[in-house]
Amino acid sequence: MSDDRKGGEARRNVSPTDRPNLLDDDQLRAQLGLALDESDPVPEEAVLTAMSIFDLGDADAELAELMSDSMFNEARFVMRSDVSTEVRSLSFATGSCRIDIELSADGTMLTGQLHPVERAVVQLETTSSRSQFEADDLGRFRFRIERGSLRLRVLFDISSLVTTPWIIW
Amino acid sequence: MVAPLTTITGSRSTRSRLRPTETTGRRLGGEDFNGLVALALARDKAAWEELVERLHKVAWHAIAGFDLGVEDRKDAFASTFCRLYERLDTIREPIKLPGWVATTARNEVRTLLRSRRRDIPSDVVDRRLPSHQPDFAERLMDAELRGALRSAMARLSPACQELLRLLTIDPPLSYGEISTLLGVPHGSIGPTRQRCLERLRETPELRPFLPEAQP
Repeated sequence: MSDDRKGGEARRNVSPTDRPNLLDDDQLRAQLGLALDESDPVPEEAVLTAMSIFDLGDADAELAELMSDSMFNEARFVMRSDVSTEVRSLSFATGSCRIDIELSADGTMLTGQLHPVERAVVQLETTSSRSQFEADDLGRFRFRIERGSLRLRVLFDISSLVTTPWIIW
Repeated sequence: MVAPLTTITGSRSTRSRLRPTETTGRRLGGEDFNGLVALALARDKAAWEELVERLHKVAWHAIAGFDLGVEDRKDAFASTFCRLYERLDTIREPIKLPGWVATTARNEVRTLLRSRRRDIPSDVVDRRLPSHQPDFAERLMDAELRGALRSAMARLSPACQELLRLLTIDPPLSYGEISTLLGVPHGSIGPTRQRCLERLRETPELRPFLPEAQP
């Protein structure tokens, strides 16, 4: 007996009342949802990463505001269609400081500077790692980076912590 | 220009997945996004994990139609939850979180695609689902139906596929949210949904499963 016929037999052995009525929109939609979930499940490690983001929370940190991003125009949430620069430049600010950064075109390096110039410890955080760099006497810093999500934490002194929003890169 | 790079931490260890009931012994029930957001803001880790548990399918499936590799899709997914955690204290109507997450996930994808310097001819690509290759284990009715549904879905236009994908997300998105996500009039969602479902029923894969075809 062919596999197809076995399948047909299985269908005939099930009472129609046990089967979803696909003429009903809601039932069809529900079955479709199950089918798509099954064929495209969320990877377990991605869910774990999302859950672990909680551990990166900085309850007392001041969140710097994104002031500009060279990938966007002034309306900020409208993509520029003429992006031709090799480097992506972003600027963040709080009431007392500004953080300018550049992401290299090849996606491997982040360089930045603090304004006003201050000695500070700058940390680069991803969803899975944290690196640290002491800004030099001109307030500059740099990190090797990989594609993905990242943000900076800037510790100006023991009681002052500023974080940037997450950047997808 | 500056001193050599330093790294103090290589990577965090993989964490075991903890469910709220295991960590706190209590049940975070219902669709109470209000309560979960408030608890997460109060540094309740179980509440955050429950939020992720309830919203991860929205974030994942809302970006299913984009031309993304798996790693890029995971990056956009992670970034969505980074953004959610970062903005949690600004969420004014937690009941709308599924829509917020879907919108944010799609925005993160667009930013990611742009940062990769890739052309984006259109948001949604014709991502054909793999046709159903039944094996012996799938001779069970449910699996057979789901396989047929996937094959049937693959026959639809990209626009229909995208709409139906958004309409099957759990927790469900409102027509208003879907209208915003797709950039189409609110009033067009219902009739288009109807047409797409009808086309789905008309496919040869699904016909045998319709009541009139059932013995």
